[in-house]
This record gives sequence, structure tokens and C-alpha cells, in this order.
Amino acid sequence: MNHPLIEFKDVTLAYGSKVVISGLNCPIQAGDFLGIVGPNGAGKTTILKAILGILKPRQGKIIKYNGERNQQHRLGYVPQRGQLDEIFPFTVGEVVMMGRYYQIGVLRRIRSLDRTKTLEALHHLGIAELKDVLYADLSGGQKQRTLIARALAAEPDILILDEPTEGLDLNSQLSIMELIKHFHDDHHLTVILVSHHLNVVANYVQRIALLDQGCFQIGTRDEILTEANLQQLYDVPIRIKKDNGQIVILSGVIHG
Amino acid sequence: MVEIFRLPFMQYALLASALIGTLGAFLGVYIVLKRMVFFSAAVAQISTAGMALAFLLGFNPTLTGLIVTMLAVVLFALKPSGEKIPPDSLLGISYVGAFALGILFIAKAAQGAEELQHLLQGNILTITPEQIYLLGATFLAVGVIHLLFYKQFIFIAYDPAMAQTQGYHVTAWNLLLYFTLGLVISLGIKVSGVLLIFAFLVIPAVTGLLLARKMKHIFSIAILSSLASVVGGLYFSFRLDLPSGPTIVAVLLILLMISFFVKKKRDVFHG
Repeated sequence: MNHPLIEFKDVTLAYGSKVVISGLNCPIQAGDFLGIVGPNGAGKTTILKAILGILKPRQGKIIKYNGERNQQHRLGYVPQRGQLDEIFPFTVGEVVMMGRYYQIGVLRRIRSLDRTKTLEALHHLGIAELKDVLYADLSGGQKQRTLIARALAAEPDILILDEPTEGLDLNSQLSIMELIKHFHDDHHLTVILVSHHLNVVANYVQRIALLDQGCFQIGTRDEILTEANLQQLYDVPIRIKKDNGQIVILSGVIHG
Repeated sequence: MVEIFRLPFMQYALLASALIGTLGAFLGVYIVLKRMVFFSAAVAQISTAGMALAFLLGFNPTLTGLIVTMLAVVLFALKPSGEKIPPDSLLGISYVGAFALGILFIAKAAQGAEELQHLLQGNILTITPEQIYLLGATFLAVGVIHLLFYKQFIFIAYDPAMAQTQGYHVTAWNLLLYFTLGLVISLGIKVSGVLLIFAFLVIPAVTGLLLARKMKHIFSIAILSSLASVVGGLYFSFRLDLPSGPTIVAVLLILLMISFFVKKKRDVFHG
């Protein structure tokens, strides 16, 4: 299981003349559960775009290793909910079916296999009864489940999520994170997720990549989540508490 | 009503408007959903400038308009200016530039104002059988492309980032969509003028969007409202002795207003 799927080798990422991050070196292993965390504008989504192939590196290389039968690993991408324009009157079933389009191929009709896989994904996410409801009419949590179902319908090797808990209430945040953990643990998916909620991510991921002002640190939770490290990175007093195995990160002026 | 459409020139006008109206309404759905109405306005203006250039130089206006339009479409799809010029600014510059150039070309062309009037308003009543054949062939080609690649076009319009991660070449697919759009705009302008073609690209799609609850229904409602406007517009233009293009646009607008009130009523009814 522990072989690299993707490897950044001395990568510089930039938009036009603006360099977002440089000298990026890190492998992403099969079975990883990696959280890329940092404040808004730190370059988290930029790294995601590079992994997805949407943004080409200015310098360096992103190596994507082939899987069994020498095929490229399939990516399941869950964008930020706000990226999708709700003017399109798609039903939940239609949105999830999009995850199958690449397998269906050009000039071919939707097969019964694609319908089955779509239904399976809807069932996995607990939203099968919403199949014929308009995506625009869903709550934030239901929309997030729909987008995860769409990514899973593609039968990915790597699940990539951009701010999956953004704009959700605490209950929905936790249920989405539990769901992602379930797919990592039980379906053996490699998961990469981007978030600026360090507290939410800290309790689920195996490794964390911290990003701030072009500075990049990657390691296991225990290596990265130290008070000294976070304090240096965020430049505010930080306290890390462990309660019943749950990590709680407190920041700002801390009493007691 | 039927007698009017027994006249040969009215039959040609009906057929040509129906072909342009159907294509315009269909492609217009992409334009409205992708929020690129200004794109189609700029392409239409560039196409007009291309035809004006042809009048000035004595070239074939349809072919020149088509070539200029396709070059513009490639330019917009490939975005050679990168991030330096925002896309809507590039469209704005292209729009005013093409508008000014079109007027300058026509001012120096032999027939001047008459040609400008023709390009702006068109005259669907003077259409020739050859133009109908050309429109028919375009209808078939564009129709086949869109029937075959509906899944790809709609997916890329909705979520280009996801499409790219699935291996789709988003720029190439957008280019193909814009090519079909450019083809319809440049041929449509020659036949019906920039006013009518632009109206076909925007109004029926918005009517469809107001009334439809499913994606595919937007296309069918847009096409039906476009065809109804063609028949109604040509009828009233003949009966009331009005120019055909603006009358068709007026009927399109009436249908749009009706659909707006129907949607309001439905929203109130469904809470």
C-alpha cells in the first residue's frame, strides 16, 4: 500500500508573475489521508489545482505514478460548493451521473452499469431519496454529499476535496468528515483535502501540510501539531489540548 | 393566417427564420447558462465588422464574416492575453473596436448606409433559395455535433474543473462549442441581421430558463418559443406592414414576459 501516487519535486506554482509557493517537495503515498491546511489565500487550492492538472508548475515536476496495469490513477474531485453555478437546473441524480461521463466516453450513451454506479454512490452517501430533487434546492450538507457522491461515482483511486466543510454547521461538518474518514478507512481511498479549519481536520487526517505565506511544512499530525510550531506559523498564542483522544486547538489570548 | 405563408417569399422567410431561430435558441441556452451573453454580442459585432470589410474590399461578405468570426472565437477561447486583461474587458474592447471598424468600413464602401442598415436589421423577406440551402446544411452540421456531444458540452459548461480532472480537453471542447456559435452568428447576421440573431441567442433561452424545471426542457422550451415568435412575428409584420426582424423580437419579448408572470404565479403557488 505504501508506494507514492504523486510526487512534487522542487515545484514552483505561480499565477502570471505572482509566485504562490516555491521549492515544494513532497510525496503523496497510496492510502494517505492528507490535510492541506492554512489561512485563506495561502495557496491551498493552488496546490490542489496542480495535483488535478489544472495548473502547470512554473518550475519543477509533479510526477503522477501509474497504478496497476500501467493506468493513470483516477481522481475524484469535490470542488467548493460555491464554484458550481446553480442556474443549471440539474437534479441530484444528473449531477452524480457526471462522475461517470469519462467512463462512458464520447459518442456513447449512458449504460445500465453507469446507472448502477450512480445509484450506489447515492446510497453510500445516504441521499438516494434525493435523486430527483434539484441540486439548487438542497441544504449545504446535502449539496456536499451530492458532490462527494459524484466524485465516488467516478470510482477514483484518490479523492480530492476542496474545503468540504466550508459554510456548514458543526453537525454537518462532523458528519461530512466522518463520511470522508469512512471512505478512507473502509474503501481504502487515498484522500487529500484542503481546509482552513485546522480543528476539524486535525482529528481525522493522518498527515498535515501546513501552508502560510509561502512557507510549507508537511508531516504526521504529531510532528506538525505542536504548540511551538503552530505559534511560530500563525504568530499567535496557541494551546493544544487532548480530550478523550480528540485534539482541540485554541488560539488567541488563552486563560486557564 | 395560412394564406400568408402560401406566398413563396414568406415561405422562404419562414423557413430561414425557423432554421436560425432553432439554432440560435439551442445555442443560446449555453450562452445564458455560461453567463456569456456579452461574448455573443462581441462575436456578433466582430462578424458584422468582417462583413463590412468585405463590402469595402469587394470580397464575399458571408465567407469574410465567417473567417473573421472564427479568428475571434479562437482568440477568445485561447485567451492569449492571459490574466493581464480581464476576459470581460477583452470582450468590451473587441465589441467597441468591431463596432467602430464596421462603421468606418461601411462609410467608405460603395453602398454605404444601405449595407449598414442591412447588416443591423437584415431583411429576411429577401432571402434566396441558395441561402436557405446554406442554412439547412449549417443546421444539419451544428445539430449533429450538438446531438453527439451534448453530454460533453453541458458537463464542461457546468463544471470545467471537474471535467478537466476527468481528462477532458476543456479548451478544445469550448473551441468546438464557440465554432458552432460563430458559424450560426455569422450566417445568421447575413440573413437576418445582428438584431434578430442576438435576440434569438438570448431571449428564448431566458424564457426556457424561467419555465423549465429540468435541463433538457430548457432547450425544448427555448426552441418552441423561438419558433412561435417566428410564425407570430412574420404574420404580424405582414399584416401590420412592419419590418420583420423587429416584429419577431417583439413577439419574443412578449413570450418572455408571459413566462416571467407564469413563473411568478407558480412560485407563489408552490410557496
